[in-house]
Amino acid sequence: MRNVKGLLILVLWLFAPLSWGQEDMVVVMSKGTPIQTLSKSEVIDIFMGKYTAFPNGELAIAVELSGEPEIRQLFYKKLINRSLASVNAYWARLKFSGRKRSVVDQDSVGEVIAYLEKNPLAIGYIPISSLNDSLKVVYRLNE
Amino acid sequence: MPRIIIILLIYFSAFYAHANELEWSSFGTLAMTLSDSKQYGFRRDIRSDNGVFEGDVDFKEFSLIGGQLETKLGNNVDFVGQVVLRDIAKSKWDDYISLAFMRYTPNTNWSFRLGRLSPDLFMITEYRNVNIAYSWAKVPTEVYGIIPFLYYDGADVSYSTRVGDALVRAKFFAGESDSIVFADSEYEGLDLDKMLGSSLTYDKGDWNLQFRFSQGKLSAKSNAVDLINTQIALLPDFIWPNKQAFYSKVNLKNIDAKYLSLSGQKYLGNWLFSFELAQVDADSKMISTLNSGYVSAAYQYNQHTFYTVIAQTDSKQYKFNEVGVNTALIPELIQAIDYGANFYSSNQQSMSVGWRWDITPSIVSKLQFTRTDISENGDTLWINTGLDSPKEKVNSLVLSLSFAL
Repeated sequence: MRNVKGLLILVLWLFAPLSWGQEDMVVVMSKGTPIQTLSKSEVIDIFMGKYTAFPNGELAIAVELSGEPEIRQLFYKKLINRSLASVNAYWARLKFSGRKRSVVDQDSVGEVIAYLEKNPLAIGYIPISSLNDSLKVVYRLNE
Repeated sequence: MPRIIIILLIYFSAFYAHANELEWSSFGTLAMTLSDSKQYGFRRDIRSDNGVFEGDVDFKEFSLIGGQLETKLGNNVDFVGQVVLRDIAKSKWDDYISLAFMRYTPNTNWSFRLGRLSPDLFMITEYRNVNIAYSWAKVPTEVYGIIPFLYYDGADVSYSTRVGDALVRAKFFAGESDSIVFADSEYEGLDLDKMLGSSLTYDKGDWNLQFRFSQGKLSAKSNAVDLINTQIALLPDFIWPNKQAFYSKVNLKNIDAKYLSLSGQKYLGNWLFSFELAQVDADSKMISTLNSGYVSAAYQYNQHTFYTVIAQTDSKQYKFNEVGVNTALIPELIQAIDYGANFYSSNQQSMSVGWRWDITPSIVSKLQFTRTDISENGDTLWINTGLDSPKEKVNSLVLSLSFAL
């Protein structure tokens, strides 16, 4: 039984990146946010900790999907064409030089959505298939 | 800033910290260093007293472990403390505290920090302990080996703003630092007081350009220089008539020192190109102007990055040529002055090739081979066991395993 479970996990691991890779990613906030859309450079600035504010001046809370490395990898590949290792190296630089506080981490897409629903200034990224009525798309990565 | 303030900052922060908002993180490196010279011992910077010679298998130069604690003290105020355990020559207990500051961030544009901070003299001095944060197995010694300061105590203020699609960040800082320089089997104290500095960063798309300028009062506690000064002062005027003018330039107390750096990075597909030009200048005959720099290219292929670095440091060699001095009567003193004045005259160039393997996004292995061409009398960055300083080509190898969690 344990072997079957292990094999299943291996198969899912092998095919998960492929399945996520075919899907569009969206950058989302809660439906009630006054933010309408963001430019690519604004999204990059927020998620790379360069300038963590929206165009209206409100402080942005970037939500990182740390528990889903495949989705995270795809997001940064599409956003800035860099690997997850490169992004982690970049954040290690900001964090351990004491320049920036880490972003909010969530383990799953469901937790990201729940966090966004409670925090109108929080911003996260999810596969488009996980989109629901409580969220507003502020940037599409495959457009 | 007295160290007691650092202690009070830590105590105060621990007292007010919300237990549920404590955030721990860590980083570390285990590195093996080999080198092939019998005379010149490889070291990471001029503080290190641990030279790696032919036949040595060293684990001390680049190995370290660091822990960082962040906690919110209020809506816009937080505390960051960082301890780095590593081999530090002639260390004091607080040399292992690399960060201990309170940060006030009223909005995304402004940030104020007070306490113990990382020196921001050159591009990577703020995070050179964090091996995973850069491509190479070690930062270019030609530029960074001359900086022995582990931290500074003071304050900084940063302002960031968007200009079109670009981001501009300006930072001003002030403070003081102290360190040790190991040379000729002696430890010499080096203080940097009244330090004022600034940095300007321009970040647009795949481009990043940075400019830094800092100045301060440098004081070295050097027995060799004190001895030279004493001997010059005792000389009668018929040997050295205008010795007062020279005397003031040999002094290593409160001399003006300047640090300058221009650096940049450019991502181009899978390539990362970077460069830095740096200068250290001091108003003393005992510290000659030091120009250094490097260019680097790195190519990433999946989890593997292959890179090369070409680095150089260059300074003029001092040769005693003061007018009116009867040098024939004081040959040993002239030799000592020449030697002392050339201590910081680092002259070498190197070429490195390396491989970085991102085993996981948080664990990295690196292997770097460096061939360094040391010029005659240009061995400041090395531990020299000989009586002279001949030119030599030295090969060194660094193999490291790093993490950041």
